[in-house]
Amino acid sequence: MTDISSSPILTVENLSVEFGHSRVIDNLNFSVIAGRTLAIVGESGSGKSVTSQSIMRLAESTGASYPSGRILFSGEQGEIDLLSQSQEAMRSIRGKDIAMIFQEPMTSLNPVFTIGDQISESLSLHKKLTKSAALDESMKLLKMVRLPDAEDMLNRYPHQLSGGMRQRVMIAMALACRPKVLIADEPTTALDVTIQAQILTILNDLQKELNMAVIFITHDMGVVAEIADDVVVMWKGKKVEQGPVKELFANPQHPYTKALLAAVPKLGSMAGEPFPKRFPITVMDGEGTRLVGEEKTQATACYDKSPLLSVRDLVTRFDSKKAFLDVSLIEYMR
Amino acid sequence: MANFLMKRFLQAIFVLLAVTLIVAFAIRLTGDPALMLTQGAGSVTEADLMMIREALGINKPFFIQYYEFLKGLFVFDFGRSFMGGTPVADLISKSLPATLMLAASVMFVSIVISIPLGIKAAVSKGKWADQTIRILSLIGLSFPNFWLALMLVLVFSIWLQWLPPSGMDGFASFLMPAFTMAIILTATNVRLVRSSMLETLQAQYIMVARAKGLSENTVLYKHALRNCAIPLITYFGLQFGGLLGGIVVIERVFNWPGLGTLAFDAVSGRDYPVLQAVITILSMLIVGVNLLVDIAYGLIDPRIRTE
Repeated sequence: MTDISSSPILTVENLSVEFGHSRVIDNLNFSVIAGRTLAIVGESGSGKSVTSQSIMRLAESTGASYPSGRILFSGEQGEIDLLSQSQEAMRSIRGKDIAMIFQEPMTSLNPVFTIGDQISESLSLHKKLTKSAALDESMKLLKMVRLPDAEDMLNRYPHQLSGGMRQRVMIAMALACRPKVLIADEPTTALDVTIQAQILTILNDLQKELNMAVIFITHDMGVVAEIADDVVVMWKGKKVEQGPVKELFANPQHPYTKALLAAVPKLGSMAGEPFPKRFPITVMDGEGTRLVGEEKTQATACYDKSPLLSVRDLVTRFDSKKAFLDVSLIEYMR
Repeated sequence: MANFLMKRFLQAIFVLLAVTLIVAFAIRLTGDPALMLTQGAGSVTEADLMMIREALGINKPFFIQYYEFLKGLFVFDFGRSFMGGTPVADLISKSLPATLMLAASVMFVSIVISIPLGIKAAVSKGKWADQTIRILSLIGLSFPNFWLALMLVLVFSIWLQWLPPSGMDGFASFLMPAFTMAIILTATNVRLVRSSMLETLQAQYIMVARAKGLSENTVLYKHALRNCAIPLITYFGLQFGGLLGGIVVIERVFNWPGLGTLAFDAVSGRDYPVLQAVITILSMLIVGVNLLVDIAYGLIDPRIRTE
């Protein structure tokens, strides 16, 4: 008998997913343990997002069917197979036990409802909180994801927030009911690097605090190195490799994993180079890998000729009245 | 927002001025009411005609007549009808409620039917429910409304004798005229609701709403519908204008005591003041409804409110 902390909270067994007659996921297996992060890595079209939407049973609304497999979730009622639940039963699990954050923070929030409305919605649904209790809790959640002026934030609309702030609102929304499993579908891909780091730190801290299992979907091996405990590498709808993050990085087995790792730029590889430099890229060729392009220095700029475009003494002003009123601009500068 | 509304309000006034000016001018091209009034009478001299013209006030220069019309507008005085001399304001206040009630019930019936049907079609895109709704709406679109009106009268008034064939007398009398027009509007609206809903359902926030565990009705009617409300309301506003135009025909068929019937009689009698008043009232209604649509934008979408 394994001890409770290491028994998986969510197990995907022999999962296959089809859209019409085309199989997009074939015989997928993995599991995730409370408090740990599993990264699912792969290129676009490899079936990562379909996997996450299948766990939530949201993929059916876009036409998916499940010819085989089980998705076992250990919840309050013991272990249940999510694939055999009705949509009605899934509704009480979604957002409560298993929550999800999405890739595009700019389009993930409904533009016509306030932040407060959108966070408190799942609280009143799953926890049966009153409107005002739900708003109080929403404010706490906004503080938890370190958004400034949480109280004021409740009455704001999504368009008044920057991308990083919106993604934090999304995290607050997903964590509203303290889910046991959080699925993060490329949550940092659309954000710039500094914001990306903030979001990853917040996720990491909250995972520890709530002892959540996190399934982190990404194509960025740099992010994987930072946050994951275990990694599943997917390629063309199949799992090609799986293992603890250190082992996988130290000793990648499958050619596709090698190609993914080769795509991460090495720190210091450009030290002392006066010109931009091209490196060959590793691509998949059949079942193996191949290098494309050659290493060459891009010394095409002529520094002794007059520049094609030059900017001198440029000052750009915005109408001061407008800038004072435009709260989003001020927020963005924080 | 206040700024935007002020602009729209000034635009509305300008539109009304332009419409009344064009109408007042064009109506006077249709012929001489004095000749119309004396039709069938025995010997009419030029002096008699001059007298009639003076009595009607149409011998004055055009711009004086237009100025007097505008002046009257502020106190709801549109002069007297050339036919029988009844104050036009009285005629209007009798027919306007009949037309408004009919138009409102048409819009209401159409919206109440087309939104759920359009949403149902969008959600079950490509399945039998969608196909059925689309075929029905195509059939609805293909009916000419006067023909549909006559057929309804034939079936429900003459054969079955369930509904009164004409006039406005209680709830039953609303059914046929309202449904005749509502069927055609609904056919267009279902398609509009379907296509804007399909677009909105693609949005990421719909997936997010489902991921929260919300019921399908909450997702569709709360999260999605409000987001596609702007194109819908814009279209409904424009449709209301078209409806007021189309109502003339239907009012004739059902002998509805509304503005359409009033306008129809005024045209055949070259009754300038009545026709001018009816068109002014109709254009005020259309401009007013579109002003309301602009206000609704701000209520629906916070992004417009802060602009």
